[in-house]
Amino acid sequence: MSERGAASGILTGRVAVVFGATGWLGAAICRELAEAGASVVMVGRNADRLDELQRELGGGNCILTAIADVTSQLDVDDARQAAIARFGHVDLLVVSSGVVTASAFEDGVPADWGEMIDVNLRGLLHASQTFAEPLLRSADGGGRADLVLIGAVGTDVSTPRFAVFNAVSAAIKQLARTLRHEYGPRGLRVHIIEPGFTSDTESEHDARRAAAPVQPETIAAVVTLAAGLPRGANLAEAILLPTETA
Amino acid sequence: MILFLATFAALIWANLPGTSYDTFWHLPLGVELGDFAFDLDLQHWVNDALMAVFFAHVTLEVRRELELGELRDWRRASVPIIAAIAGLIVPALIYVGITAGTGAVGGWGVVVSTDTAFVLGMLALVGRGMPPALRIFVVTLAVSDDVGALGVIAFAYTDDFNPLPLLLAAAGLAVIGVMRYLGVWRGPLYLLPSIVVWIGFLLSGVHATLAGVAIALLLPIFSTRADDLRRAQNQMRAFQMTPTALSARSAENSLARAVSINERAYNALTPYVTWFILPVFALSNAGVRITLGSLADAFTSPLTWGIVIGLVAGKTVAISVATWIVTRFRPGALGPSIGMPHIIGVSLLAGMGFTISLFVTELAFDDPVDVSRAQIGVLAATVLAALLGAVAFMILGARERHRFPARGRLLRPLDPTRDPVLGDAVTAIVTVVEYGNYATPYAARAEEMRREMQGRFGHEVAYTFRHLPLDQPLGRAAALANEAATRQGRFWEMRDELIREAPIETERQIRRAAAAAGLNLRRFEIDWASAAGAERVDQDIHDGETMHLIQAPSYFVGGELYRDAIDADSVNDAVAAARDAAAHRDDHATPSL
Repeated sequence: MSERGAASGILTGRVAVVFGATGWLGAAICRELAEAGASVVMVGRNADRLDELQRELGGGNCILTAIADVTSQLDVDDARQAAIARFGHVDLLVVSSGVVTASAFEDGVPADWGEMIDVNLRGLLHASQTFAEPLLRSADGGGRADLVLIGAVGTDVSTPRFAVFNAVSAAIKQLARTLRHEYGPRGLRVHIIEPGFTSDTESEHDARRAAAPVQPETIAAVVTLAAGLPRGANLAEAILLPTETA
Repeated sequence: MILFLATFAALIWANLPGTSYDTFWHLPLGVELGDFAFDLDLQHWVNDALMAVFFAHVTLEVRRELELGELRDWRRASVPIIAAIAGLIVPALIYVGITAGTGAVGGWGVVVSTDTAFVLGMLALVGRGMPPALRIFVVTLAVSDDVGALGVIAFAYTDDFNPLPLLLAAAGLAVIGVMRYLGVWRGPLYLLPSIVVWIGFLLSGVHATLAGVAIALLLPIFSTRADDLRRAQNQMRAFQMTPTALSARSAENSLARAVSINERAYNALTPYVTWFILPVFALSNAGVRITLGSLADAFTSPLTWGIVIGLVAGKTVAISVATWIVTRFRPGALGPSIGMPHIIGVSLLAGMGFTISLFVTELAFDDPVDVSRAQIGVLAATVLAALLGAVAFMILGARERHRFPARGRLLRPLDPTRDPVLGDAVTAIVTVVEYGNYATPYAARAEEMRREMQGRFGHEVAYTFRHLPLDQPLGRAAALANEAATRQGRFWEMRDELIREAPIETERQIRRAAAAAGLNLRRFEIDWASAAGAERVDQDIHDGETMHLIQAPSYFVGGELYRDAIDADSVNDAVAAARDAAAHRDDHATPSL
């Protein structure tokens, strides 16, 4: 919360596309980016929640909503076309869409794994690939261009109920690292921001979120910070852990 | 064929000594209910009742073509209709010109109409290998002409016109209209109002066969809906699981429901029309007593010559010239596969004025001598037109064979360096080459065919798909999209997805198919927009034209054009037969050790 004012205006002129915009993390990121002066294309599946978020952000010319399922390549491509049609270019992509299911591995539901792989990994691949072209074009133009992937780190080895989710998150991290090598030389910064989540799986979902030491606003501030750095420097990897752990 | 036999039999029968022919066909047949009596002689039963069914049958086909087929485009339908109108007027004028001043002028109605059944029969006989669109042209021409001729009969040759029963007919038609509006799909339910309509027309003095035309025009027609198909499928599955009489019945019903009454009625009527109605009609109407005296008399009378010249020359000139004029104003209105030579051939055949001509003869002339003259004229004109038409089509056929020597043979053998191949092109003993089009609804079920082909024939059959976009707007775009997918090694996946989307009518469908096929959309769009695969597509189109392929899909099995039904089972059976034949040949070619 406290960083919000400080970052204001540093993203003026930037065009951001946020996948998972209506999610717990995504909504905070959209708010933060809009406050920092960026134009924001909010991409989500739920039209009502997108509209609600748009109203909350005061509407305006700088906010566009796009309904898309990140697992559908065609939907993602439609969002790209809409973004380009409205703002002319895209130079910041944040992929914060993701689902989490937790269970002891032997009790896991394979369909849940499929969903996590589809949304968290394949969806992220679709979004990154579809927007690689406009991002690289912005980088070629000499400006800053950022691809921000939101990953996750499991912090507590004593409650290993996130085996598949962690495996997928590790894949995302590996993708970020490799893409950084591929796109860094071309001027496109690839970031991976990994919040550690609480290991308290016994309490209720919402309560858990409310009690999480790392709040979405904090993650959003890091996204804004990373995107606002000068072109020459890349805040490549950020791990956000609860102070009490480690 | 059976029609010609029946005509021949009628001529022999009528010329036998005695009057058995006339007596037989004038036997009355009817029903009597108390005071109410209703009877017609046999000939009228045939001409008024059976022929109503025939005209209904023909009208059903025309309506289907108007609604779903070739003639959906009014530009195309208008040509045969205009030609038919010219074909009604010009011969009548010629006849009147020749017989002017004699008492026979009133017989002009004899020459107005082409015999639908005869001309289609002749076309099937002599027009083998002609484009299917030509048959549609002829059907439309003949039916428009029949409708016109029935109008002529109704208004020029109806002595005792009585408008009141027409209300009865209108009521019957209204019932059919309401049933159609309510979506009644059980065919037999339409029968009762149909009979009412027929009786109404009959009593009014307007020719009763018009009832058949009117009813057929009203019967619902639609292309099969996916929903209905799914319902039918579900019912079939239910029947599979519990094969009871009840589930069998609901499965049957849902199957029937998926196909429009028009098509069901058409298929149900076809055998009766071909094997019963038309032969019986010929038998009852063609019996002209021919003697040397009557021939000599006929061919010295202007009446006979008026009919012969009116039908043969009048029809030919009217149809050819009218079509030619229309195509001057609207190039391409005939469609890609028909040319003026085809039209001239057809217009020669159109001089066969059998059915309605003989019918009008009975109405127009009272004097038996005039009747005999007219009948001889009609028969002579019909035979002459048939001969001229046959000669024209023989010349046309020879010319086409000369121009398209490759007809029916695959021009470009399957070539693994240019064609994507399913199966193993090296070990295959039979090749299957499909020329297809994603913009038509007939593309479906190709995936099933592909799976079967791979499963059943393994390495023995090599299959490829080539493009025949014809003239649908997005046909070529879809073909290019399929080729663009080849750049990403996904020709067959893209083909499956395009088929799933078929008929392709929007570019969005193509993009959706590309996404579903798992393509890199950005590369796909670039390759698609730059027509990266145009070379293969254009070669295929060119080959298709050279081979005179006019329908998609067309299959070549072992290099020979496959001409039967294009459902998966039939094609696969043909492939299996070709494979067995090829395997058999190989056994004989390689001496066993």
